[in-house]
Amino acid sequence: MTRLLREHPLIDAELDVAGRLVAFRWAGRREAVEVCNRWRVDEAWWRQPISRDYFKVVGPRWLALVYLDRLDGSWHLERVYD
Amino acid sequence: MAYAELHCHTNFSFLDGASAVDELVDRALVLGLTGLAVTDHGGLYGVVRFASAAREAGLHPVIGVEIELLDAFAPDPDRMVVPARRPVRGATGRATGRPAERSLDPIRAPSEGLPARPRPERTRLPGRREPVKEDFRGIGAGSRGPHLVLLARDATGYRSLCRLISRANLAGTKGAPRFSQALLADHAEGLLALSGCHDGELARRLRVGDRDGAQRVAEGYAAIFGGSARSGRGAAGPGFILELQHHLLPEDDWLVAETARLAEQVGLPSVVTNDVHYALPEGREMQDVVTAIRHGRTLETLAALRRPDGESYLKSEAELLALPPGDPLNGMNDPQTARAWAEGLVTAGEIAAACSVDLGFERYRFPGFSVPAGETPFSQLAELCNTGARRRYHPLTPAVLSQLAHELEVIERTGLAEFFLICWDLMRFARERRIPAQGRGSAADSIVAYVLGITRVDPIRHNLLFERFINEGRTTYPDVDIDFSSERREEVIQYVYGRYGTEHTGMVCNIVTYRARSVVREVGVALGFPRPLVDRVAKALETYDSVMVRRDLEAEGGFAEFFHRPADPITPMAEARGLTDRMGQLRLAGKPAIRAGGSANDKGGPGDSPASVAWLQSGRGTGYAAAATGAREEPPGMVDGRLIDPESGVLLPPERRTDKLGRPNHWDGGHSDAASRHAGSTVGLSNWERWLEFCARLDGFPRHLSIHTGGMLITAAPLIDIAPLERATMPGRVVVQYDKRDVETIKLIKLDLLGLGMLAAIDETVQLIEHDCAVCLDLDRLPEDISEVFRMLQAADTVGVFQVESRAQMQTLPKSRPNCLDDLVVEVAIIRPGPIQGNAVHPYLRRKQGLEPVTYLHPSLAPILSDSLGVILYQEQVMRIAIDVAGFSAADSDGFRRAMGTWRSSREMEKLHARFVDGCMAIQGLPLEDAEELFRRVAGFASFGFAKSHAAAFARTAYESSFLKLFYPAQFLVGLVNAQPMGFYPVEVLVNDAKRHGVAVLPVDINASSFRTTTEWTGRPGEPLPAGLGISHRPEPVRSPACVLPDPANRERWSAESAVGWGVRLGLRLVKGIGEEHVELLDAELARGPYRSLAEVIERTGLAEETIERLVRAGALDSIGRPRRELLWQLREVASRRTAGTSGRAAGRPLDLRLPATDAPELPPIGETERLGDAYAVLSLDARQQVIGIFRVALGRLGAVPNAALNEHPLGRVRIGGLVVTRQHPMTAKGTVFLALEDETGMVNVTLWPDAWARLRGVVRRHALLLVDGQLQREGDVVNVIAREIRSLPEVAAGVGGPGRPTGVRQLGYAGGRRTG
Repeated sequence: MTRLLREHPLIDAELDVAGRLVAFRWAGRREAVEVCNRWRVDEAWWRQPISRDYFKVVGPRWLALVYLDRLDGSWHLERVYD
Repeated sequence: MAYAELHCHTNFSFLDGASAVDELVDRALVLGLTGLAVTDHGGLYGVVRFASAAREAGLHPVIGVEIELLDAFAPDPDRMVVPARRPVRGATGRATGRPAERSLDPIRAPSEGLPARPRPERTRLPGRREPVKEDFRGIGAGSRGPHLVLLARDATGYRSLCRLISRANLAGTKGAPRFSQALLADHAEGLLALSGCHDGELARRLRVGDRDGAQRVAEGYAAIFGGSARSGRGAAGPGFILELQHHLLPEDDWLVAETARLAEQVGLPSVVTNDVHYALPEGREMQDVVTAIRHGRTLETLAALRRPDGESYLKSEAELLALPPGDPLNGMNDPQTARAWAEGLVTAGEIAAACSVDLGFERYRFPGFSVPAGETPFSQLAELCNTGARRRYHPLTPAVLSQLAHELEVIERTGLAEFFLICWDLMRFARERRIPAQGRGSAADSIVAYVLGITRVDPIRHNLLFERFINEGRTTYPDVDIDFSSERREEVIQYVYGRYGTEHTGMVCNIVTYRARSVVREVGVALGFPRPLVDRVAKALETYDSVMVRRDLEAEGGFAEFFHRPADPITPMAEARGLTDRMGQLRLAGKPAIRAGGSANDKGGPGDSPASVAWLQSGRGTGYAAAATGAREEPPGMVDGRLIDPESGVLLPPERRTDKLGRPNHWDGGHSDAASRHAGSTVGLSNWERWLEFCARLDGFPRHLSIHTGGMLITAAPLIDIAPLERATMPGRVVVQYDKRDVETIKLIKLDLLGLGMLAAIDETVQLIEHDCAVCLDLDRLPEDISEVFRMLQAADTVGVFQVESRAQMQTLPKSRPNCLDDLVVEVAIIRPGPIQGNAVHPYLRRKQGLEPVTYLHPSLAPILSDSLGVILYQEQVMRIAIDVAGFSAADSDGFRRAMGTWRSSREMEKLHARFVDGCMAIQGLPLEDAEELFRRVAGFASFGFAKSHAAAFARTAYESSFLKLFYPAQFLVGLVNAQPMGFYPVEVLVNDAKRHGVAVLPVDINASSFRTTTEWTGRPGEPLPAGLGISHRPEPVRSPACVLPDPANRERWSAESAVGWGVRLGLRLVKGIGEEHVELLDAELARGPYRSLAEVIERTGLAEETIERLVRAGALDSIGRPRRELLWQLREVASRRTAGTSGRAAGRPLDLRLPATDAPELPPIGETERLGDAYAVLSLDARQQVIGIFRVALGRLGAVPNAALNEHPLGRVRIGGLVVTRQHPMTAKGTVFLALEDETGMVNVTLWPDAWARLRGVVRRHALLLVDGQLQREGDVVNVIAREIRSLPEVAAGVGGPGRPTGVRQLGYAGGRRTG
């Protein structure tokens, strides 16, 4: 089942030296992940610009969709696939 | 490091591409690309300007195209490659399977039993096919055929491209070429094919998992495009290459890997491209806007029709290498893909270098003019010149002979004999058919053109300079423009097609670009503004120039304030003003309201994080805005531009030019230097500002092609090998995809065959004079010194006269007082925007009026500048100064003139400057300061220079039309009215002017008017008007080959008898709804006899009911003898009986019981106000009286002065009333507006200074009948009223017992930026 998180909570992302996402931390739990796919969304520039790099990641527990908000550099969790 | 981009769209992809050619070339140079290909959709529209811009900038150009194929290469049973077409919106007939052709037989119609749809009343002309334009709005590329990119390797490849595109276009409909695989296979020679974007057949097959199919396609195309699959890369390499593209889309990683693997498998090279649609990242916004316009949607509803990210900008090799496939640290890609990616970048450069096309076609330019055996084109030309010279010159002077010899020598050396023969042949044809024609432009500098009959200006007499036309230093083609009577130009075009063959002849296209109104509407809709508001804004525009949109909207009360509050949402203001009900409230299902953006109370939307909301609320916008303003904004979580992870403390490597995904980091403001005005982001602007911004950016974007007004291309090789052709909207007409400038660049021969309304008017006038007055005029032999004509010109009595009828001309004529043809040449040349702006007008006028002495900087200038009283006025003068004073050669002097005109580069200017000054000092011994001063004057003039030859040609026509207006006013008026639309004034002004000159103008009458306006005998002054159809017999025409010299005795006779006895009968064509298709029927019915009843009119003319209603309201049926109200009462009834009886179309009509028409009740007769209103509504004029006439009593009570009385009225305060006939906003007048206000006594110029315009704009724009209070100024005979207060005349008049507003009177002239004179 998919859970779409309406609020897109902030997560803490761990990057390695090369800047790749290796793990994230949400609600006190750390999940080491591997990136399966990623893409960029640059949207709604005429309204409130959205500029995000999406990462579909898989870890031991979760398959999740996280993104880097390129406007402020924050990381968010958007979807969790149970 | 030698990447070249091989897949790039310019704005010539027509709304799929957001950057102009120049922007892309500039950016490519900045990024260090070695080459750039232009691959627009389905055509080569932009390649010529691209190739020359690129060459000039030192970038290697590659010419190509991206085509959309109709069918798949390999079998496609599941329609994976070519999706089944969705029914096209609006084409219900096709979608439901009904035949497109409507059956005319109601019994067999498939819709039997249903009420038939009304048939359009206006039947199509025979041979005119239904204009078919397919509607692709709302259909994304993914739902259409597969793409393929083709690049020309060499000249053969370019020819294949031209042929392929032409054949596809000719097989398809306008704007929808039909490229099939079979056609492609036939035209593969010399071409390189790239597999295309993710909508290419290969990518489509890979995406659905059809690897075998993809392999078949790759191998198949490789076989078609030549070269063996394993023969390596480069020029001799395979003709089919796989494209690798990565736009950071979800499936791109996979698709690149898969394509690279396939390439390896089949042994074909792969190449990296970026499917560029804009030069800079910010261009993405423009791309979205044009995509929205293309699909007729708003940005919000565009959904998947636009790309989800903005990665289709021109990227450097480093940026592309940093993308995921090329990133060695990227764990997702296998080494094979990374290698293919790196190699693909190199391959791109190699392929670009191997593709080289030279777009020079000098050797193909002459179609081979057939000459008699034993002659060469040159000997033939020389002979024709000798014959012509003997005809033109009596006697043949040594000056003529030596000039002729000189020109022939230059023509022989430059090999242009055939060119002259072609022109001569055209003029011969026109003469034989009696088609009025004359050459204009710089061709009139040539005595060869004069003696061949191409031009009508004697270069010896006018002291013209041949080198302005042709010289050996000139790289471009000499320009011959020939004006033909606008009514008969088509015959000449058909002759050219017949003479040189359709294969070798084509019309040059005209690239229609976006102008203010279309831009404002389309951008407004795309940005989601409500349509009523968009309409209102578009209507508020005064100009056609989209950069002036802001000025106009700010001036129009009600919009201005929106532009001054960029941060506020516009909702409350717009709503409060009643401009809109939904502004800012465009609620889409389930989506939040759209706000103006950047607002301080912005709470963000779903998906916004608290941080991003805070960020928005801080008003700082985004990195885009930071880049645009140059300010350095640092987002949270960053230190000195380095991203920091708060948990692990890991810092990103500093000084990275691109971020992890290969995109340049926007935070560093890295490309703000390259961001031009046309590239900055609009993020952070209010919606209104953004609207204006996009309007300004879209200005000048190509919109579609149309036929150039007269450019004909004639070539030696079949045209299809030289330039791509496509269908024009006009049936059977084919246009070249290149415009006038392109054709010049590729050095082809082009003739401008233009239609000139005045020639048609003069021709008809001369024929009428022959018919009516038995006088045969040969205007070629009209003496140049008829003093009455000059007296008329001096009095500025020039309404209708060619070139000197505009407001500005009328204001200067009384000051310049032309008294010979040379003065008229000056007048034509000087009253133009350039000289007005350059302040050249006043010195000349002062000298002409004797207010300042005529002086010359140096005696050597006297012979050159004596024509224009010492003022530099003509391009020929600049050249002659360069030759005679500064010692340039004739050829160099033309280069000097051009350089002065274009200010090409300061270095080049500096060189010429030094040479000029040195020359002046050495040759003529000018002191340094005088030489410098002369250069300054020459340079100052050059930007608005005008060829004297052109002015002389036009002045001659102006002189002839003045002559006709003066001596044959009735015939001239008929000529002018029938040649409409033309000239400066609406017909109303022409008619009233003629009436003031004593010409009787008779109203439109169904029993007397032909289709066209005609002359009608009205009897000598004092005689009663003859009844019925005019006169029983007319004087027999006497043909005389000689020009009748208007000596006083003869003149007396014409004035007394023939000329003055003629009035003008307005034609039925002036009534809206009557067009060319009715001409034969109406004229035949008129000849059959009078119409006696309304029913007869309806029956015999077959006109639409609305048209007959217009005829009644215009008074055209008054001669039936029934009151108008009664006719209108009966009209519906009688007309419905006819339509019901003939075609069984009874829907919405009263049941037809074949009862006799009911008698109208007693209806009051219509009043004069209503009659006038109706006449103005239908015809925009009234033959009986000018509309101000009915206000005269009220105007008298208000203390207003008739216009004719202003000449004697004391200066100072004055009040006048009148109808606005033209309104002008000249760009040169810095915001001043001029109105021509007409009353029954004449016309007067009203000037509104910018502050008055700002105040009075509303009333002036809304009302046509105005009461003006102002200041009367008089300078000599020139009268001007400076407006202080303007009110609506009917409103004020009503207060003093005047008539109400005649409802039909609208503003007659619309004059925006177009009329700058």
